[in-house]
Amino acid sequence: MLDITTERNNGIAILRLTGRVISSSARSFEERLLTLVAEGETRFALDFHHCEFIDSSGIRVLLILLKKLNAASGALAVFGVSGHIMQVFTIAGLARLFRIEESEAAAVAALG
Amino acid sequence: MMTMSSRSRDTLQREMSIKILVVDDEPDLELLVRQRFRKKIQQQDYQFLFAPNGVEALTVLDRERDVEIVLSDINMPQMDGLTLLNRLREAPVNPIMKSIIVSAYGDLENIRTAMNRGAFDFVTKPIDFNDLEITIEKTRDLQSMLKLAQSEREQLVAIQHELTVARRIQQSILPKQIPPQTNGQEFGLHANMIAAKEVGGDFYDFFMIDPRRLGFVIGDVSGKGVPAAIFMAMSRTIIRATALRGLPPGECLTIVNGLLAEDSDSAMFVTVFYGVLHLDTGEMEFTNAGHNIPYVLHADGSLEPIPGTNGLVLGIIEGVSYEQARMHLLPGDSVFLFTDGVTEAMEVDGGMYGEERLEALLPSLGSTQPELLVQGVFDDVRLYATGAPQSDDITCLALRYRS
Repeated sequence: MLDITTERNNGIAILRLTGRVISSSARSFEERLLTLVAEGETRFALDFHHCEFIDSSGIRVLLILLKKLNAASGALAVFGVSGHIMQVFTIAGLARLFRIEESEAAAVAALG
Repeated sequence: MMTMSSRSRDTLQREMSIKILVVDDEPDLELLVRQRFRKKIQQQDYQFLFAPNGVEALTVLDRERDVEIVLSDINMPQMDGLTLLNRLREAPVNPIMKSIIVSAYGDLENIRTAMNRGAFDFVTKPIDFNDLEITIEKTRDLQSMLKLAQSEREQLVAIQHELTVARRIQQSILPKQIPPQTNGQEFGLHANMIAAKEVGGDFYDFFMIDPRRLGFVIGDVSGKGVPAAIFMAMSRTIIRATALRGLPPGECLTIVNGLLAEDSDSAMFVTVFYGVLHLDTGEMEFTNAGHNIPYVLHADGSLEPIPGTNGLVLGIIEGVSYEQARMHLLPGDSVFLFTDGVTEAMEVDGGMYGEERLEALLPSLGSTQPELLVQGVFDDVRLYATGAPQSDDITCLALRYRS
């Protein structure tokens, strides 16, 4: 349902999401992120190019990540956000909490 | 699922010793059993109890309710093994207990009778202890599976119970009637919810702040089940209590957010639209905290989205302040609020209902009557999602301003 691959770019954890972030996939997404946080990652960029859909359980995971990162003086950016997901982010007021960037390069620069 | 089951079965076997009751009038047998299974007894893998006949066996079983295997001879004084089998079917023994019968070699008639009376297996005399051990282990395997099935069934019952609790919490906080003060003269209001099997955390509320101001709320809590239901009940109560102080919506949700965010480390949140309708003027003040954009359906049939107020979902970040905006309703205009259970309702092959369909539907219903709007949307969503399971609560609230 949701496939996540992790890469690194300039010391930033890049997570590419493919599929849907909904209640059934949110848990593994959360575990993946929290494991990375526990391993000391503090800067995250999430790639939404191939993410079709996110619901409130998915938003919740982003907010959990954000709280952890705030506590660790880290930061979060997202990129490749379009259509439905952008609308969800906008409605939920999330643009006030993390950077929404056009491209991976812009996200990495924003976190750098 | 498979791997988990077999793992817990192994754990079950390793951790628990098995209690075996040997029923035989031959006094030497006890010594023999203790010798042959010395290791198993030392390792506390097997525990043996002994009884010389069926009557005493029943006494032991009445005292030791955790006996799991009865190994019984057939010919014994006072009560024979076949009678014992009959009595075991009625006795209040461990439900997973199994009996193994010891018979003379080739005594098929007694063996058949024993099996028909519920014996699980048999061994023949003279007892081959290797064979007996295999038989005991085979019995044990089956019992482990039975135990596992039982605990899974219990878990299922617990989950179902939790679902019931969550649904009750949700149902109990929904208002049952429209505020009676106004007698429905100045506005009409209708709301309904179809709860998902696993409660999704939707709620709605409405109340008179004072005789001239109606407050109305729709909300959706993240997460599901009992935690979502509790957070929902808390959110609804805090919103109502704060709103009844008569504060403007922005200020009200700023306070609510502070209270909800104070000790929420589980990152639970709630999206809320809170509106206040001034009955004298048709003025509507509102704040949208991360909720789906509602609509005004004008009396002339045109549809207008209610602009967002840049509000973050409630309960996450302390110290955020919420803005409000206002709109003017004319007599006959209706406000239509809904949760994402409507627009994210899925059809069988995974498509979503979506805003476009809702925006096309609302004006086509040909009325701004609250009941008709809510019912019309429910009917259309049901039509769209026919055959697909409902994964989230579906909630709508419609409010029509009359004069």
